[in-house]
Amino acid sequence: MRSHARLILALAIVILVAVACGTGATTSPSQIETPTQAPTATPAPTVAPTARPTATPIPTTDGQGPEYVVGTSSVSVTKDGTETIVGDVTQLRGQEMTDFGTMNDARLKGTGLITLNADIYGSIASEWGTTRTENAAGAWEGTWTGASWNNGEATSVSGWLIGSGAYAGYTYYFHAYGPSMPFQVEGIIFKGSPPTP
Amino acid sequence: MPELDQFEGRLAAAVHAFADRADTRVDPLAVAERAIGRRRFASLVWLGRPLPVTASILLVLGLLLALLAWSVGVGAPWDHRTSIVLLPAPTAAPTTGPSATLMPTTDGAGAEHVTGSGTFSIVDSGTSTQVGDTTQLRGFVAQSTDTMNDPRVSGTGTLRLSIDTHDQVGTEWGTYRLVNADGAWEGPLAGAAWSGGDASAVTGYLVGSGANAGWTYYIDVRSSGFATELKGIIFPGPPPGP
Repeated sequence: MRSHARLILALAIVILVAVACGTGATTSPSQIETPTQAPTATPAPTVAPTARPTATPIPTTDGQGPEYVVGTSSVSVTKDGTETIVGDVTQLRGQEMTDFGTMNDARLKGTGLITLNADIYGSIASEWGTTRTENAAGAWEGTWTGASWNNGEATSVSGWLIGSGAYAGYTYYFHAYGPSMPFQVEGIIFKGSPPTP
Repeated sequence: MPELDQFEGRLAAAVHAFADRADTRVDPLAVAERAIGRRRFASLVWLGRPLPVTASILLVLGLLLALLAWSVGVGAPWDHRTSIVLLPAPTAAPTTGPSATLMPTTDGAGAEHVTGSGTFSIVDSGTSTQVGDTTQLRGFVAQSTDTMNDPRVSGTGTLRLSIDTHDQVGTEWGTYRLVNADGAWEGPLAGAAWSGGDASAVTGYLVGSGANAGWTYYIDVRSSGFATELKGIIFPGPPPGP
């Protein structure tokens, strides 16, 4: 009798372990793919940094279809904008920048050309502008909006860029953010148009 | 009788020789087994040491429980998140845990960079329709509680979203209204989700009313797993024009 009880107890424990393993095995955390190429917009109100991006060793996508994309953005001012003080606001208009960022999707390769406008309130700013990234196969172009703080050191901007050439019919949404350059970039490429609220 | 003396001498020597060769060792375990009856599982050998059955069972139990704890920890499903972007179960009301990384509080006046965290619970999961390769979710509504480092942007929010999903990624857009005792912030939000809705980023400009009239709150909502980070700026002016 005792040996039977021990056997049953052992079997119950083994089954419990097996069930626990099976439950855990159902998790399928989605893999985050990551960078190797391409740029995006990200402004800095008045700062003119020149740092080039550091390559991040993250797997590239297959460069086709809908994708989650990530990478970095490092911008450099190529043409100063005009500044006008209106009350407590400094209005920066028409600043031009180049983005040497890298992304993990070949469709986003190329140097980004950015225009930046900003309303600066002390150390923070509301920002908006345009960006165009072009490579041999096509281009992405559109508008972006966002904000910066810490005198332009930190940023959060996002935008919707329309594809052309080989990318016609696709849209690239990006979100660039971070406390300092190089900024982090995340976004998606999808077939379709930007949402129209 | 000298012959008898010799005989007795040889006999005594023979008896002593026999007694010296006899095996007088005693096996106490064998004696005990005979006394109480043979119990085949009376002890088990672990690393060369005999252990009582009870101790052996406890040892096995301990090892199995350690294995159980490890197996649960390795692959448990509780890291699934309840993104505002997921196609939710109709009656589900999950919440996201805030990340406790608040910056020092602001003075609650003037232009500020703000940061904090939020929790969401689903009020209406909306309806989804398949259109080609796109799943269109409409009428999604969630309640939020924003805990920020500036009292002007802490409060209770109502998020109304539409979501188009394309495989593992999706676009999101809608409106957000944040209310507290002194006023409100309201405006459009838009952004994207990925990892099957497990992560998202949406941004927007919310226009102030009440005590916040004349001010705009740029909000950046970034969610990953169960954490929702909020950051942005409050500034005295309108959102950027198109």
